[in-house]
Amino acid sequence: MSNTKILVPLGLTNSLHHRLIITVRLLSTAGNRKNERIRQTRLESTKQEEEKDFRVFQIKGLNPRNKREQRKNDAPKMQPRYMNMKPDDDWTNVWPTASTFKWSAIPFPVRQGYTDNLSENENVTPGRYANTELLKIPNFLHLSPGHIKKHCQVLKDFCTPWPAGLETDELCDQHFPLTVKTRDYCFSSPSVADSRSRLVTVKLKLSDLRLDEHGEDKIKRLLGDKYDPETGEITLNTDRCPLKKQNYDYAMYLLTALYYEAKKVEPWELEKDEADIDKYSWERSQSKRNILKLVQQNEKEESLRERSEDDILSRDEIKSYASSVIELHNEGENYTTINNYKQSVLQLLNVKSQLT
Amino acid sequence: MATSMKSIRKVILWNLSKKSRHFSTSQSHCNRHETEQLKRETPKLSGSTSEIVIPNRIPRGPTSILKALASTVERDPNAPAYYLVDDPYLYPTGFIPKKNYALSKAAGKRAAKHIVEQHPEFFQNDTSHPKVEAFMPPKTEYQTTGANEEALKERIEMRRVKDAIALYTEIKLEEMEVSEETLLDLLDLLCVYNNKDPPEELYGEETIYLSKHNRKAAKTWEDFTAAEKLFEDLPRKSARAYNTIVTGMAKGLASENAMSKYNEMLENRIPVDLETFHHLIEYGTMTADSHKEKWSLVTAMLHELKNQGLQPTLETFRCVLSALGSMASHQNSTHYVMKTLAEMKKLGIEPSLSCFANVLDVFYNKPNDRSDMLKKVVDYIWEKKVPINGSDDLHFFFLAMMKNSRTLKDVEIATKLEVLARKHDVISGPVQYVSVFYSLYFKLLCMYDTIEHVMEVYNQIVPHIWMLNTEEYEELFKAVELYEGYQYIPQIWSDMQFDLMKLNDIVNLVISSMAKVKHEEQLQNQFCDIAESLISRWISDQQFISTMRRPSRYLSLMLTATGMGDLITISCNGNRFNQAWLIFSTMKDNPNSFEGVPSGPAFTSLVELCIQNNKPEQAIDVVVYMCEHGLPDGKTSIEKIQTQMSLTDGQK
Repeated sequence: MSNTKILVPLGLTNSLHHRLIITVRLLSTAGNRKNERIRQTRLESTKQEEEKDFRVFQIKGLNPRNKREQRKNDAPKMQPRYMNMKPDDDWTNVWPTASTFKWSAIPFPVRQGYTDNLSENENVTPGRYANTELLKIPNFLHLSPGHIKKHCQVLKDFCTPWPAGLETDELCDQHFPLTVKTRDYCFSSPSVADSRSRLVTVKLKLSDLRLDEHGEDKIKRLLGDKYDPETGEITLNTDRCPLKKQNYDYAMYLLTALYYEAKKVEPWELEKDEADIDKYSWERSQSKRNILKLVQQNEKEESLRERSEDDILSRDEIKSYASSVIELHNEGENYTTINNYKQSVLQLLNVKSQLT
Repeated sequence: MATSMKSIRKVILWNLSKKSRHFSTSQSHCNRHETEQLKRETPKLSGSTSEIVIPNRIPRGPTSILKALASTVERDPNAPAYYLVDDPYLYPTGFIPKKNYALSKAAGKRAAKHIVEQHPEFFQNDTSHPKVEAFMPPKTEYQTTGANEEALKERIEMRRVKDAIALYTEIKLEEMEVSEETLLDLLDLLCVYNNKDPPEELYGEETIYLSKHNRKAAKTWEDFTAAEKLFEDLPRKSARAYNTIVTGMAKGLASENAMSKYNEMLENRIPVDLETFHHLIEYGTMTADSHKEKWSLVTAMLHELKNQGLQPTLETFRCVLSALGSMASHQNSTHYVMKTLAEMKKLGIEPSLSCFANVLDVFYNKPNDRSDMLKKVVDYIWEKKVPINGSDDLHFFFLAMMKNSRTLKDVEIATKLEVLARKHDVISGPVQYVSVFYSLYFKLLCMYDTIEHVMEVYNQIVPHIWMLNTEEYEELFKAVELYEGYQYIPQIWSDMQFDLMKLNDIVNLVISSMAKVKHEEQLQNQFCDIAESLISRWISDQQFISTMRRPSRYLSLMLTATGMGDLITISCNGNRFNQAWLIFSTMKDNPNSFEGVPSGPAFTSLVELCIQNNKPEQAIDVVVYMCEHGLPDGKTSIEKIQTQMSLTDGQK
C-alpha cells in the first residue's frame, strides 16, 4: 500500500467519499517516503548478502533501532475545575443550564456503578472520572435551591398578583367552573412543532351546567364514558384537528351543542320505558306493585283490603323492604345490601327463624 | 313527567367560553418539557355575587423569560470560554492555544458550510420548522437571466453587487426601461456596499482574533463609479435618491462630495432624512479646515434638522459627540460636550457607552489632563446600569481604562470598569482590546493595591480570561515582595507553567522572590520543591539537547548565575543539602552555561549548610570555587571551616 503511487486525477472523481479516501491515502504516503528510502537501501544490502550467502532471516525487534527522540508535549494540563472551587462560590454560575455530567466541575465526590470482582476497578465503585453511568442518568444540578430562588426572583416580574376573591380551591371552582388544559412541548430538535401539542382537554362539573333532571339524564347518555359518575366531571379530549386553537374551538362547540341538546325534549323521549330509566325508582317499580298485591292478598279481612296504598306503604316493614330493594339496585350486590334485603324480607313475611 | 316539572330553575346562560379557569403545571426532564398550561381570561358573568378582577397579563416577548433567566447567570471564573469543551485536558493553556481553539471551531463551521455548498444534493431534506435558511445550501443559481428588470431585482435581492452593476450596464446599453423603484433599490444597494460585493462575515469566535480595527479615516468611496453614474442617470432625483447617495458618500468618507450634494439638497429644498443627517454630522464635517468651522457646520446641520421638523435621537447625539471627539484639541470642546449632554438630558435621552467614549476622548485629549469626568461617567454607568449594545460600546471600556491609567490612576474606577466589563462579556471583544485592558488594570492594581486584593482579582481573571505577560509579572512580584505575600508564589508558579515560552524571562523573577527571605517550614518546602523542579528540568533539558541529532528549535530552560545562586539560597533555607549540592555541582561542571556572575551570600550559606551536615570535602570545594571566582567572604568561610569542623591533614 505504502509503496504504490496514486495516479488517479482528482478532477475526474466527483464523489466526496472518494476524495476523502484519496486525501487520507496521500497523507499516509507522505510520511512513508523516508521509510521507502531506508527500506530500499536495506533491500539493496540484503540483495548483496543474498548473492554471497544464505539469506538471513531478519528478526524484527532483535536489534533495537534508534528511534528519533521525540520530546512529548511538556506543557502541563490544567487541573480539574473542582480543585479551584471555594465553598462559597456560586453554584448557579457553575451549572447554569441542564447539561451532561461534567466530571471536572463537580466539587463533591460521587460514585456510581457495580463491580463484580477485583479486576474491575479493584472492586471499588467507580468514581466520577469517565463514569458512563453518571453520564447516562439525568442530573438536576441545574435546579438546586439556589437556582430556584434566583429564577423565582426574576420571574416575579412577569407575575401579576393572585385575584382577590379566589383564595381557596372551592372559590376557584365556584367562580371558574370550566377548566381548559393545553400542552406545549419543548426540546432541542430541528422542528419546534410537536403533534402532541394539539390535544386540548376541557373539564367541567356536570352540576355546574345546572340542567334539570331530564337534561342531566340526557346529557349523561349523550356523553357516554366522557362523564365520570364518581366525580361528576365531564371530560372532553379533542385532538381531531391539526391545531390547538381549532381543537379548542371544537371543544367549546361540542360543549355548547351538548348543553342545548340536553335541554331539548324530543317527542320520542316521552316514550321512555322503565327499562331506560337510569336510576332505580321504587315508586314506579314492579317490586312495589308486587308488595302491594302481596299485602292486599294477605289481608284476611276484606274491609282492610281497601286500605289505601299510603297506609300500607307507611308501615315500617314495607319501608325497610323498599329501602333495601333500592339499595340492592343502586349500590349493587354486596354483603351489606343482601343482608339488609334478607332481614327486611324476613320481617315482612314474619318469619322468625332460628337461622337469622 | 313529574320529575321534569319538579323544579324549573332559572338556567343562567353564560358565555361558557369566557368563564373558564386555566392553570399550569410544568415538569421538566433532561431535554423534554411538557407543560400543561391554562390560560386566564376575564369573566363576564352577570350572576356572580362578587366581582373577581383578574389583572391584565404582563406583555412579554417570545424570549423574555429566557432572557430574564439568563440574567441570573454570571461568569464562572474557573471555566474557560463558553464555546470550548469543558474538560481539563482540553483547556487552552496560553494565548496561542486559545487562538487556535477558537479559530479551529470557526474553521469547522466554515468547513461544514463548504461541504453544504459543494454538495447541495445531499441536503435537500429539510424537516426544520421554522425553516432556517442559513443551514440550507445557498441559492447560487439565478432564476432569471438576460437584461431585464426581473433579473436586476433578483440580483439586488441576493445582494450581488458586481453582478447587478454588470447587468445594469447591459440594460443601459440595450436602452431598456427600468422602473424607478428598482433603480432606487439598486442605488441603495450600491451605496450601502460601496460598489463592492458584501464582505464575508466572520463568525463570533473569529471576531475575537481576526477583526481589524483601524480607526484611521481613509476615503473608501470611489469617485465616478457605478453609484454616482446611476445617480446621474436617474430620470428624477427624488428625495430618497439624494438621501441615499449622500449617506453612501459620507459613509465612504468622501466628505466633499457629500457636502456638495447636501448643499444641493438644501438649495432645491429636498427634505433630508434623519439618518442622512447622522452621517453628515459624523463624517461630512471632515471637510472643515479648522475646528471652529467644523463646530459651526455641526451646529448649522442641527439647526437644519430642527427646521426640517425632525427630532434628534440618541444616534444624533452620538454623532455630534463623535464629531467633537475628532476635534478634541479645540479649547472649547469640553464646553460643547457639556452642552450636548445637557441637551440630551433635557430631551430625556440616556447616553450610551459609545457617547461616553467620545466624551472621554474630549476630556482626556492631552496627556496630562486631569479632570474628574471619568469618575463621574463611571459612577453614572455603575448606578444606572446602562445597557451595552454592540462592539462600539465595548470599546468604551478599553478607552476608559487607558485614560485612567495614563493620568488618574484611580483604583476604584478601574475596579468598577473591570467588573462591568466582565459582566458584559468583554472577553468576546477583540483580543487586542482585552489584553491591553487587563494589562493596564493589573499593573495599576499591583502598584496601588494590596496583594490580597490583587490575588483576588488574579483568581477571577487568570488563566481563562487573560494571562499575564512579562511586564505584569514584574509588577506582580514587586507587589509580592512589598506586601510580603510570599504564600501566593506557589500558585503563581503553577499558573506560569502553562506558558513555557515566557518562562525564561520570568523564571528569574520567581527565583529571586523566593530567595529573599527564609520562610516557615511548609512554605519553604514548597519553594524547595519548585527549585528542585527547575534544576531537574534544566538538567534534563541539557541531556535532551545533547542527544538530538541536529540543532533544533527546542526552547530549553535558561538560568543565570544569579538565578542559580538564588536556587542554592532557597535550598539552604529549606535545609536540603543534597539539592543544594546538586545545584552547586551543576554550576561548577557547566561554567559556560550560566550567564552572569554568581553572588556571594549564596555560597556562604552553602558553606554553612555543609558545616551543619558535616561534609568537609564539599565545604572545601565550595570555598575553592568561591576563591576562584573572586567572591567576597571567601576568607571568613575558610576560617569558619577550619574552626568548626574537624578536618584531616590533607584537607587542611
